[in-house]
Amino acid sequence: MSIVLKTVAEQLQIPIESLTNDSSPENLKNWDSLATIRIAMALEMSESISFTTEELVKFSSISAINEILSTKK
Amino acid sequence: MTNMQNTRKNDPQDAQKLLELIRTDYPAFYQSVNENISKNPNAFKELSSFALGWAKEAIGADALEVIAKGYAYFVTDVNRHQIEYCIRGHYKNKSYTEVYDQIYNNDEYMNIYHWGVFATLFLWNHHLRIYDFYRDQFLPMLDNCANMIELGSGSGIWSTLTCSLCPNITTLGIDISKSSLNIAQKISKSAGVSLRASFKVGDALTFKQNALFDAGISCFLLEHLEAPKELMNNLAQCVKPGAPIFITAAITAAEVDHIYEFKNEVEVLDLLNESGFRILQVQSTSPEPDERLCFLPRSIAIIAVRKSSEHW
Repeated sequence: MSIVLKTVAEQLQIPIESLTNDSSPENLKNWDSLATIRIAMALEMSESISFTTEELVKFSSISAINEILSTKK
Repeated sequence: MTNMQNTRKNDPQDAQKLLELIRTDYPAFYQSVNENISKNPNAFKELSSFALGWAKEAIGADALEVIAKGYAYFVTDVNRHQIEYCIRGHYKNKSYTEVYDQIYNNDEYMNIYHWGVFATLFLWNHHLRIYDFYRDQFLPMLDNCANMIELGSGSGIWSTLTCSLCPNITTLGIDISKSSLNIAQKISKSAGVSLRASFKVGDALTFKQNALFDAGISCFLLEHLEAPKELMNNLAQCVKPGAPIFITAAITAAEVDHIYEFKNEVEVLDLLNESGFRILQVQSTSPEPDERLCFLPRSIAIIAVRKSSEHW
């Protein structure tokens, strides 16, 4: 299971099955700017990484987060 | 007080273009912005029209992109700090030294940050309400005032607004940042009020001049200071007895350079009272409470007058 899908589902409190790589703030009402930070902080804690502000403003979809996360590993 | 229609305006489409930029480039921020401005569409239309027109001349052709980016970066940092504040229970930084190199001495950060803060003036509903309060309740008190001092004038938007709306007043803005001063001068020039709105580099905590001012303001500076009482004491020494003043401050609102933590409105009111001001009107505003945050970030705006004596 993708850590990003799992984290986004937990933070937005929605079923993981409802998420796809295209899920984004544009098509998920609960995904606002505060949720973005909660998603990021949960990933930072679970993956022992940290995101810059520049990276966080690019958290525009599941696939975008996966792409940013891939640069951390 | 003059009518907004009599002063210089920009392209009314700019606000819509900015919103569209936020929607497409920073979608996580769009929903709350849209909700904010729908609660106070008239103030948004009025203030964004002015502010974006001024910013376009100060920034240049890519002004809307710079402001949209600044807003996204600023709110991202604010959200992170507010969540961490809820976990930690107090602000991250407590001294000017801690934030100086990270923020104030970092030109790249300051440029993005500056325009982000600027955008919150008209993209956050609780700031729009403070603008309404300033325009409707404070500015009419300046009818008989010839001059006004602004301590910590930053980008100069409050002084510029004042001169734009009150055709007989002159203002002097004092700020320690030379880059902020440059922006303030560009903005006042763009607004067509540069002959009446002047700005000077100086320390808001110690600035003095021989003649006292008829009125004074200081907006969102108190929380950036280690000892905010020094600012209020200095303001009291800069204005005449009976002079109206307008003060704003952030309460339980964590930002990287908020180093003085006001925990409630009374703490700010006490500060003014102890510095020799009599409180006339208070407005406390906030975003909609969010159950994900244990502290409600809010802004307080206060209209007061300098006391003539301890009991007056």
